[in-house]
Amino acid sequence: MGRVRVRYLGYLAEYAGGREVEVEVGESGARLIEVVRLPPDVSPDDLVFLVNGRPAKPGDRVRPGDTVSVMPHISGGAPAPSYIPVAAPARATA
Amino acid sequence: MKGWHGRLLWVDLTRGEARSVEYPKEWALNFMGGRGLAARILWEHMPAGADPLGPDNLLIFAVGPLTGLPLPSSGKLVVAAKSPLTGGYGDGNIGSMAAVHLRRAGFDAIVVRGRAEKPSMLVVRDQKADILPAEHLWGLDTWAAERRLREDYGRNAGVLLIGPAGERLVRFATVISQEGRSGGRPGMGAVMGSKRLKAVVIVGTGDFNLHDQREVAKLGSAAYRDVKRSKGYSFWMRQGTMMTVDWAQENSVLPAYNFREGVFEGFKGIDGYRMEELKVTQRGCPNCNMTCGNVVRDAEGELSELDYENVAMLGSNIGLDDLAKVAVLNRLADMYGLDTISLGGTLAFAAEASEEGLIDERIEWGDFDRFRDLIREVALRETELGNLLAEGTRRAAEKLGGDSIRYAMQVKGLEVSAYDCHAAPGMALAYATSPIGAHHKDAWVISWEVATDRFSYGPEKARRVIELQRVRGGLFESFVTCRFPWVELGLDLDYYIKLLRAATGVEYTWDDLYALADRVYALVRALWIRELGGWDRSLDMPPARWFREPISKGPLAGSRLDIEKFRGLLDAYYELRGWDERGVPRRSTLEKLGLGFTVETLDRLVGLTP
Repeated sequence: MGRVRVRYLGYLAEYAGGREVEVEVGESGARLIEVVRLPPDVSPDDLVFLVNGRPAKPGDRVRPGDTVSVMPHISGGAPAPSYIPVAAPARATA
Repeated sequence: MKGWHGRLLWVDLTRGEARSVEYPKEWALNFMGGRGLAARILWEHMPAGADPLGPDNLLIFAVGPLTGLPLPSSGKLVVAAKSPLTGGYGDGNIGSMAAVHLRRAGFDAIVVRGRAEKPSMLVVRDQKADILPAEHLWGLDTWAAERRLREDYGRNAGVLLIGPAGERLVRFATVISQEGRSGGRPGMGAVMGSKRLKAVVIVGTGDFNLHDQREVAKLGSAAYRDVKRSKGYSFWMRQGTMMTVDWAQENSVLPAYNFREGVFEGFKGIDGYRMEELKVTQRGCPNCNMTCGNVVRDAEGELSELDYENVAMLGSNIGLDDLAKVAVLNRLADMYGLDTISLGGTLAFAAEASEEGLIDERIEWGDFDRFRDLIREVALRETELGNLLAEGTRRAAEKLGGDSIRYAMQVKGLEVSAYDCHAAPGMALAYATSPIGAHHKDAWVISWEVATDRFSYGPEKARRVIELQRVRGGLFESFVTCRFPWVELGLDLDYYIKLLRAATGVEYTWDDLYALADRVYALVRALWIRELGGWDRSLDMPPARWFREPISKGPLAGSRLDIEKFRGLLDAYYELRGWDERGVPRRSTLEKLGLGFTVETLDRLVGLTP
């Protein structure tokens, strides 16, 4: 057994009840998504995850001693305005 | 025509004249307002190669069809001109009651040319405009001058003005409003100063000339409601953009010591939680229900309005870890009328140049007292060093010579804003291709980038940068409204197209709007080429430091950009935009976008690729 430290940034800290919590995991660790506490209506796709300061995915394995950071997208990280994929300059009509 | 007034207020300060003129309807439909309209006016009416600080430059204050309407965060206008800092197209947006009043006065833009003989101000009351003496205001800081103007013109008048830095033609002087709102990073305040125009006061009482006022009100009301219901709303109201300090530190993109590092050991002294301890009140632009101006009591007992950019650039980037002191530097910048981002970059340049022995004076990182004095010296061009730094980092480095350009963190002459890019090639591309120089407002791609594959140089990054540039830089800058409801709290973009249809009666599609955004970008690039008299893709490269000197601290220590891979990313960007390998729009692209009027000039200057 050991502990994973989980840091919550932005509004996620309000939901998680603190900016930093510790979670017990077994020696073999756990999937990242299992150690974070998220609001029910928030998709992991809408968040940024780091493990020990390096980019990570929700399915990555975390082990005792690791630090997980979870944070919302900010300033333009919202889902792409993908009404028209960029393939070429748009046509000239208005 | 509904949704626009179809009129400009054309002011000639040399002649002392102001008159209302109509402009082509086609410009409104195809360039919309704000940046798009300003770029079109500059192309048509500014003589090519005009001196940015001379009478021929045009200073433009432009609104758009959504400005001032009862919808979230609509109290914005664009201020644009040829930039004295970069020599190319320059603009910025500013939140101010002046935006709402300009629309109510019945104009889509104010265009100012010439130079007044003596310090002057422009006072617009609906369709009446007067050029009045302003010698009593010249020399006053922006706060004192604005208070005087409010005594004369009323508490709710729209006021835009410059401080002593603009008067002295500091090349990164901005236009200020409401004691803390600042716009026009690439020296729009210096352009205003060169015209001896201290202030613009606007009082408008007319209507917006809308196609369907009830529908606008209905949609606006729903949009306000959605903003407030956003998951992030309560935390946003606590910290606003200041939450980004922690975010940037976690992601190793918080600039420290002139962008040598992406983490800062003293970040807790300047972050959003520290700000909450100092917070006194909150301010915002007109029509905003997610006010982002966090006002704190600074180390000298005065009020200072903070956001992430000024805190990172005047905090971690100069090695200062005390938010109350950072707030003093920020307040002084606002009072003198200086851009906090370029100021932070310039002070950091001075500290590093000092460390490297390129200037005689010793300037220590984090030395609050020295930086405080230096801001005055820059704003007033008081000392030799202040005068040098008032030129911005690129010119200062050129004058210092030697290896000093290494320490000038800028693109096209505009200092980089507060995201370190040693390990963020997409964000570096956003800076490199921003239409005004290294600014984040057009494509803040870093959040998406760190959540996907931050080390990739794949074409998906060029696509994403263009997507963001289209929406943030192309559309919001032309609507003209604040992008925060969308980017920060996820307001559905479809609101904007519905609002636009209701306001104008024009059945715009997303296809039309993206075409419009691409048109504006290509026109801005055409202006750059015309004003510089040519083009070279090295102008679209980020600072060399990010390629040559890896960061040494934090979890990403050792990271730096790969120059060959970055060149490939830039190629992908050009191709998607329909620009050639030099970064010049192809003839076919210009024609497809309806910019045929630029072809002859550009072909003569650089020889267009078919």
